[in-house]
Amino acid sequence: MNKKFLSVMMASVMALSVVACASGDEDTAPVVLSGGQAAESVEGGNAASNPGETDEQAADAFVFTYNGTQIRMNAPADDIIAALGDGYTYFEAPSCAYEGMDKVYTYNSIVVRSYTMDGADYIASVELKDDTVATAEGIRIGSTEDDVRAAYGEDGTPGTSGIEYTMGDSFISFIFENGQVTAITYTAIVG
Amino acid sequence: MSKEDGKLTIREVLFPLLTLAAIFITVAALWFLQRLLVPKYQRGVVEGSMIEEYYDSEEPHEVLFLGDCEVYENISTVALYRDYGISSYIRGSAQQLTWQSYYLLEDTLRYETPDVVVFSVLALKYGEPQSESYNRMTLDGMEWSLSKWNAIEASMTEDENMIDYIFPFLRYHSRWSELTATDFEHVFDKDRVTINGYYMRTDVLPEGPFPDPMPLADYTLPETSMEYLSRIVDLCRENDIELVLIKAPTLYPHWYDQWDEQVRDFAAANNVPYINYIYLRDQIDLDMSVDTYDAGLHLNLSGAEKFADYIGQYLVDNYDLTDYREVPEVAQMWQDDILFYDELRDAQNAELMQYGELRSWGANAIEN
Repeated sequence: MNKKFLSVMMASVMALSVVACASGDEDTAPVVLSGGQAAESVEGGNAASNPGETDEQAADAFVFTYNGTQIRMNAPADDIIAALGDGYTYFEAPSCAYEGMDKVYTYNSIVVRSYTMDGADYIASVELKDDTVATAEGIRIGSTEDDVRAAYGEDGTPGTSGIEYTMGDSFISFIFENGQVTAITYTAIVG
Repeated sequence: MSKEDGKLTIREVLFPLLTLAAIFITVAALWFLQRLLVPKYQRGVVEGSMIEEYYDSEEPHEVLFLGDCEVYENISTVALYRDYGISSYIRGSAQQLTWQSYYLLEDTLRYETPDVVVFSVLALKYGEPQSESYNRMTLDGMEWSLSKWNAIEASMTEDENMIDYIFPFLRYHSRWSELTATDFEHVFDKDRVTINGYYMRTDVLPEGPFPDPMPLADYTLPETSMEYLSRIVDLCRENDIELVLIKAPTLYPHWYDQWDEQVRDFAAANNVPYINYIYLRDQIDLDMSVDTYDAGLHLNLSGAEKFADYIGQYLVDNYDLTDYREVPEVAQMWQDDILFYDELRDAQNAELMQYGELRSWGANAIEN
């Protein structure tokens, strides 16, 4: 009987152990568990060693180049922001329940937004503000709708105000007014 | 004793008893560990405690608010009662998605049927599950029912599993190394963090300029969220509940004109009122140099009382609501809420006087 009782106890303890270790140490709790508050700044992390260069994932996301710095959607933001220099105005807004921080960097000709995930900032979007900058395919504010279709193809997703093209975990949006591009945004697909 | 006698041996008696004891101890240990390891949401990030607090509220609630921080931070439930005798509850939670609002309404109807439901429209912009953390803050606090099950099914992100909601221990067991004093202090009971769903902040940080909104190629509100809004309309009709759609008077995150137009069209088509309070900031008498605690993202106590005063007038003008100040039994319950409200206000103001900032609430209180 003692052996049987011990077996039951051991089975119970083992069940506890298995459950407790089911996911191993790599399991991470929701962000809130480690504080929730967005980090002010996170060093390095997954950032490319040379932030101005695209890595092997670059082909899976749109990349915009501004003053020699390449900005890939969903890339770690800190080194990119550092490379872009200090000429920006800054706005930040914490998300509900401090689950992250929306950061907005406004430069002369572009607006860069970042989001927070697991304490680090990543590029959320780039918005082109004027015609001094252009996409890698040569489209800028003032280009025509036909220019966009010629450069990016006919397989975009039309919306109420423009058209979107998706590449990997990002998409680029062209907003039209009277057949001309009035706004261009690169956006990360987060998830 | 022996088998020949037809009597049980000591072993035969003890084994099932000890087995039962072992099972009981195991279940109790698991239950305790789960209680210990799940987040308590008692300091700093308290939003995860809001949904479950509803079940402890004993007053009848003729007005129910549903939505995200645009309701739970912006409308003082005590001001609604003090000024108009409206007994209300805000079933709000961080980034509450439209389908979560729907299932929270279903859940509420298990306990009571409000006369008026006020739904905040900001979350209509989300057509897909967004974040496990936010899901947890809304869903873990719901009592188990088919509504909760369906809310989880509708809300889970790709990496989430129903089993983790049924047994939160499976999700949170790795927290053992992150436990704080608060986790031990609140293993068995939690402190109240809202006043009938209202989250109070008394500090002031004036509204500043917001960045221009990012232009979108497509302003169509997602089909999923609009479908759940239709289901909210239907559920209210089936239960003789008046529905009111509102946009809070805060300006960030940006509420696009194109979204506003779609909600207006929806409201007109469904014969429900829609009020965008962004256009009524002057009438509300909001002074965003003093009525916000976080640079205009949310209202502070003075702003929330002004907004409650304004929306309360609309509610009593348009609906046949009871003045619960005249109902002694309910008035007594509200006196307890008011006492807590006043104490909380005084405690926050005392900290502001002492430190110039809040340290026991908000970001400064988050435990790492």
